[in-house]
Amino acid sequence: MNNKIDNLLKNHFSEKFSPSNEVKSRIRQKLLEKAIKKDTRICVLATIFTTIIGFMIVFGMHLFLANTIVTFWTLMFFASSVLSSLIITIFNQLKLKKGEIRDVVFCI
Amino acid sequence: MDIAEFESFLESHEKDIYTFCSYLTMDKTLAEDLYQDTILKAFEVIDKIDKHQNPKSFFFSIAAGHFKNFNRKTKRRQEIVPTVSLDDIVIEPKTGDNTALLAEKNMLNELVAKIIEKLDDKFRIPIILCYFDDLSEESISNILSIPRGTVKSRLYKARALIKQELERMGFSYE
Repeated sequence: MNNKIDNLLKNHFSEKFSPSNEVKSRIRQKLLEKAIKKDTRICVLATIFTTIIGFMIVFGMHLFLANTIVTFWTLMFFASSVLSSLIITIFNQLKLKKGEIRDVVFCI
Repeated sequence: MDIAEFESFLESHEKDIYTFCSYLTMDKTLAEDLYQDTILKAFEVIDKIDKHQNPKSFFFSIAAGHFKNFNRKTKRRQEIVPTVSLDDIVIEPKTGDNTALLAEKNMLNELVAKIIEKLDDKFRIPIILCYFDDLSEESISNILSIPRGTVKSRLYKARALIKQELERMGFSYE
């Protein structure tokens, strides 16, 4: 009995279908939106990180060294280099790909 | 799997994934929706897809899971607000209508489609996976996350149900 049913079912499921071009382009569009959304989220996150931590470091050091020869802009430069390495470390921990980290750093 | 690999995989296997969705839903619009959701869901977990470990099974697994969830929701809605399906409305063929001249093969195929559509998901999904892509019991058990013995018994039961239904309609499969 199994052979007959087997053949019948094999025959029934032998037909293959293709998604329409409309569906394909709709999916492509959605995938693109998803990829952009992910990139945007990463960039926004990086910017928030940079802003908050940067201001904390720069403002703290500016107060601490206010009466010395170190100026605000020297501290800003110092803080940004520290921050760059910090953020790269964070995104390495998040297991982002090299291209994505580069994009984030570039965005910052 | 990176985005380029994902795209090339889709290009070469889109037919299989879409066909599986079509056999699951038995409806073009639903199949398109299920196919789209499957691809988008897979894209979300693109990092987890291993190109060396049969990614097609991974897509089938997502599609099957999504379909089960969809069915569960639809059943719940049906319990709250029952609706009449178009398939429930039987239109009697007129005398001399072309439908009467349909080839036996086509008629049998339609009957099999109807019988499979009526089967419970737990029997239907293994049957589709087994016959549509010639997957082994081991692969089906991995896709559906159920033991191999369960797959075997469900396939056996599904075949028996199909045979029983065909015999009830007057076809002999002894």
